[in-house]
Amino acid sequence: MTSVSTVGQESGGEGEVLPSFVLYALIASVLVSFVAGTAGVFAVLRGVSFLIAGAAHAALGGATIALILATQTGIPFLPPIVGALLMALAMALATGYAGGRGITARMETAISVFFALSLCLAVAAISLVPSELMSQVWGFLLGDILLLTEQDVLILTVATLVVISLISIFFKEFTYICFDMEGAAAFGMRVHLYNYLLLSLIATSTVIATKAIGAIVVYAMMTAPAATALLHAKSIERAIILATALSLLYLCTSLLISLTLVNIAPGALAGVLAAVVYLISLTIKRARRRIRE
Amino acid sequence: MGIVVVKDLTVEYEGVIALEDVSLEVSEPSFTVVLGPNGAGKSTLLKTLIGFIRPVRGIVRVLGIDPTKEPYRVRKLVGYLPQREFIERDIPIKVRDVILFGLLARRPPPRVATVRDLEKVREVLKIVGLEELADKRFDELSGGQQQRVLIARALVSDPKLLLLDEPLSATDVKTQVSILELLRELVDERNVSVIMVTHDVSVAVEYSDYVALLNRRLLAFGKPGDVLTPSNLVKAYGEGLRMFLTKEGRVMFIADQHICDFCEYCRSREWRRRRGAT
Repeated sequence: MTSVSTVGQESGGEGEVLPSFVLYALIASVLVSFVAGTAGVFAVLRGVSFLIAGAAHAALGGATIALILATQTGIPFLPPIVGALLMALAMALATGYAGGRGITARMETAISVFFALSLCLAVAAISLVPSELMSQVWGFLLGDILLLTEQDVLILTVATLVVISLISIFFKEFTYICFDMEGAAAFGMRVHLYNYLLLSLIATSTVIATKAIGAIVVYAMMTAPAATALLHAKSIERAIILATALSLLYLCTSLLISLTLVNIAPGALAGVLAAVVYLISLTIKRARRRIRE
Repeated sequence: MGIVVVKDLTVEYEGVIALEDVSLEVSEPSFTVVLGPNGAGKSTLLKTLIGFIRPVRGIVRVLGIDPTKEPYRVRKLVGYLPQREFIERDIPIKVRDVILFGLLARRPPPRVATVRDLEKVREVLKIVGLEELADKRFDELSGGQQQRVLIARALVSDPKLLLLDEPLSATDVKTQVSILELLRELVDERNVSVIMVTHDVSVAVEYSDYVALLNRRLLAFGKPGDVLTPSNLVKAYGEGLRMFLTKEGRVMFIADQHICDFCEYCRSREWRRRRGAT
């Protein structure tokens, strides 16, 4: 965790631009907000919010296994982020396969099984990871937006652009399978293909966000702003815009608090803000409904 | 040849025989109601017609096409309404977009709506009597209005055949009658054939040309008066069938197996049971 005093020293010079770690954190906040807004809304609509928690922990298992393969077996190039992505995608595909024609309960069971498998693999593998590489493993679990490198930001940017582009291109298809998968199949759409693609994009988005804010906080950041937006928005497009704006607000606010007021992990603070605002929004919405009735 | 032809159809669903040696032929245009208790294979029949399930044996032809070999061809020509439970009703989506779904899902990407498509949406909304609700959110409509919108979605591609899986579920008698009047009008004035599944012997049969009484096997198929005999109904629903007089004065048959939390009959029957009446 970067301390407040360090930040003060680095950014204290006259006319000095933002220190690189703050700039990377801001860029990552924007990127995470975009994936949380788009993939998060579709995860909530598709009823697979739990896939985010599952994929984030699958990422932990994947990253650990990639590290072991690299260090123990001499496989020359399998970066932890690639291992994380492969494991999360495997979970997404298993979820889609178990769900068949879109039965949410079955998908949740598949996610639970994969969640457990991935965590067990991670726990079993962690003992084999050399101690000097352990920080990379815990980086996936806890994450820290202030510790991102230039390479991390580059990977996040490319992955975010891919996710946003594909969700924009297949926006109608994803909307249709969320609304009525059986109806879409009956009208001749290749629903399984789009279901696998959507689940894979949600899993990829989760890994992207996990890299920046950690496996624990990512669940709050990808579901709470989306769920809050869906309480108020009149269309899916507006829900995505609102969820993105809320995510950005939470991340920037928490970064500001972390850098100026309290030395606290900004990702965790953003997660708390997201959850609190969702609960307040839900309470207000229900109270309004009761008054109307 | 009928619009739907089924010969010696046997379907296994997840290892259990759901339909056995079913044969029927539906002429064009007509309104056919498929009746039977829960688990009778009614939805399985519709899903086989649309090519979701491959039969173990038998012949199926829909509009002259074999859905086991060319399912996507059949699906592009037929309007389908799934069961209520398969539709996620809390999604913020406009009525217009729900109906456009019925057109655009049949096309390859990028599925862009044309001016003609929007005109078509207005046209079908007028048919179902909801023209003024195009810009409303789907989740803000009543259950009956939602069902009408979904029927409009099934109609928007001008299909010759509509397959409707429990379109009357969770609606009150008044809404059921309005939906059935709409379906009857589609058959009589627009030459659309309708095959509608329903699990209880309800007001639907009054509007139908044919009734198929199903309980894994086809127990009877023909005109409603010929099919709905006491012996056939006992074969389908068992001895627990009761007659019931609705508020509108219609005589209804209610099977003992039929228990739901929604319909007026069940609530009334429960009320009668609690009072100790038979």
